[in-house]
Amino acid sequence: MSWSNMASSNENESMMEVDDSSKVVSFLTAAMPPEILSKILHHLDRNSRVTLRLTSHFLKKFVDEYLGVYVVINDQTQSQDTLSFFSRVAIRKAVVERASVVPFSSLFKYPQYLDSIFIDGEVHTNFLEGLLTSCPQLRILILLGEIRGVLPQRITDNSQSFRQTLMYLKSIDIRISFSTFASNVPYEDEQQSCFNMMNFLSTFHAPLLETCCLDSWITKPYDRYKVTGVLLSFLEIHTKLKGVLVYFRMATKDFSDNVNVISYPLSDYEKQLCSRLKNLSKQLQLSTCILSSVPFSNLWEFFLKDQTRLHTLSFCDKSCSWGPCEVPLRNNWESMKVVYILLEFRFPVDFAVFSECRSLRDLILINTASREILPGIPIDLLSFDKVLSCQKLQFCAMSNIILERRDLWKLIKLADLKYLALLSSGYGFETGVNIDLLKALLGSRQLEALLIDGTVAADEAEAEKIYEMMQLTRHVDVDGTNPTETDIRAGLVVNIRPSYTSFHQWTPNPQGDGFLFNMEFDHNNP
Amino acid sequence: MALVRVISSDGAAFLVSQRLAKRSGKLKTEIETFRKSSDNSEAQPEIRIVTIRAEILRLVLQWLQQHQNDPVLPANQNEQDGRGDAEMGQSQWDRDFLAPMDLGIVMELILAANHLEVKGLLDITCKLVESKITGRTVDEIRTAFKLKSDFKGNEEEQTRLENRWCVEN
Repeated sequence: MSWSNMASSNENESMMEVDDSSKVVSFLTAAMPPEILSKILHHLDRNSRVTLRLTSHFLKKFVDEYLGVYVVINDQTQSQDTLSFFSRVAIRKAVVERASVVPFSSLFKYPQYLDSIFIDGEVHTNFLEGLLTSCPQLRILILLGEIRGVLPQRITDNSQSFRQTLMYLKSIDIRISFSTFASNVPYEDEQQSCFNMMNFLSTFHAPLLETCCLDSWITKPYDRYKVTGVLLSFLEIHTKLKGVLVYFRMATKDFSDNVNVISYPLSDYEKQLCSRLKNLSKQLQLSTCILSSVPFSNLWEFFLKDQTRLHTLSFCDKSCSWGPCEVPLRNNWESMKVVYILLEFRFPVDFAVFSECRSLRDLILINTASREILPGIPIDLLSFDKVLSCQKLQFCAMSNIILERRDLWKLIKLADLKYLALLSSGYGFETGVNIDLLKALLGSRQLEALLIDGTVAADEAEAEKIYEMMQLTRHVDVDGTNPTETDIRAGLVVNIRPSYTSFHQWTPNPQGDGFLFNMEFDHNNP
Repeated sequence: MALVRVISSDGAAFLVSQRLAKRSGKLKTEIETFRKSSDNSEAQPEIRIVTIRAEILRLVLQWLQQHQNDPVLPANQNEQDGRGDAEMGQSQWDRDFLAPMDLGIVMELILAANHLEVKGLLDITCKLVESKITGRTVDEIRTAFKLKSDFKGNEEEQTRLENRWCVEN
């Protein structure tokens, strides 16, 4: 011991509130500094917060006005009871399914405590204005719907309160849509919505922003370049970004327009975009990059080569202009921890690269081609042995991918594997779960969760039997598409698509409030 | 070895290596202030902590001693999203350290860790208190934290009605 007690004589000095009548020291009272009380109670789940409201006047007030609760706001929660509850409490995190039907001020009595909001569905500019001008604690802003109406000039002029809200924002998800699938939305409105968003982004500066997700839906190939221009402007002024997800989606089934490949001669505008993209690689240092069908994809490949801190990568491209076979980032595969590969077409996949992924922790291989484009022709993984050399693999999800039984066996035996998702056909077990597989699974004591679907298992009863025999603490069965909230509530987050649900890891809450979302992208960032 | 004398509110003195003491943000500042204002570079700093009694101060120093090789976390690291707390985790030593303490001591330790700016200790003690609340009933929480209901008339029932929407969902 490098210290010693030299004297101890005086009476204790209590720092707690003392109830003179009983000489009982109470805790969690107004005698505690609010910042400490807040720290103690900050991570409580919703049910515990609600219970705390019943314990004392002080704690009720503290929860209502400072601590807040998490809510999901949708058509079902528009009852008087709910609104009455909302009108009393501070809301810390909110999932809003219909942001167009309720005025912002009626939902958020204490907007200053809102730190995360997930708006799934269209949002009216009035609601957005309320959000962006009165929530200085906002850290995560997810806008999956479109903006309806026109943004007020005072927002786009960067008003003081707007800048205050953006000051500490850490993450934003935004969709830019040049197309519409809703038959009741006139094309002109869709265009207006898109220009709203682009206008919004062009005035947007959140100096501490760490992640951005840009999801764009377009119909005309050239619109890609417009969106790319906005995206580059956005990236150029947010140099602290660590995670970027760019998702270009064609609102058409016509994949023949090969707009990703640069066709020469370039127009002046294209030349300018290329030049900016090259410069960008010197300004940004990303740890996570998820790219899908980005224009100028071969330039993005050069961009990625300069990203020496990258540990999470996803790439897919409908145009075949590049793919995993071209092995970008040849120099730093070793540091990769998470790799998603979305195989849209029949690539001559070379998985030799995985032999270099000594740190790989999560691997997600999704072949949508066999299901959506080339029915019945799943992709062979000719060199799956290389994947098996990733000895640190913890999470492995595969869909529509043929595996030799011996490879599957080896996969299950990987020492650190905890989560395994086998989705859709292609394992040679069309008649149900093979007993060998079952034995292999049972022998895999470290497996904590298993995800299989109805093709792998003959029926639900058989799947249940596996779960039961393995005594899994958590399991969930999804259909191979994005996990639903129910799946998330079940306790397992399934990162099977490089989309917002995987980019933002949703933290399952033991109490069933499945809508806590945290950024997961840098959880193992060295 | 350079030492610093840290004195508790009740007059107990602890001789601590400066290297160890500087793992507390507060003590580090005090030592550096002393150095700047002292002509004698060999002089031993003496720091009075008027809000922390000996029993608690001893626990803080004991924790620091055990964690002296841990990286020092900034006081505000991940304050908003809480990832710092979650990732830190508790060692078996921490669990054994906290296990025999009653809630009163833990609450004092929280205040002390906050005052002395020892983030790691603050995190684990706050999490311990949080665990004493999670999943408990109203009465259990009141008992554990020695809280008396101060609701009057039908105020408690009214609050239950307000909560109904949340609980039912």
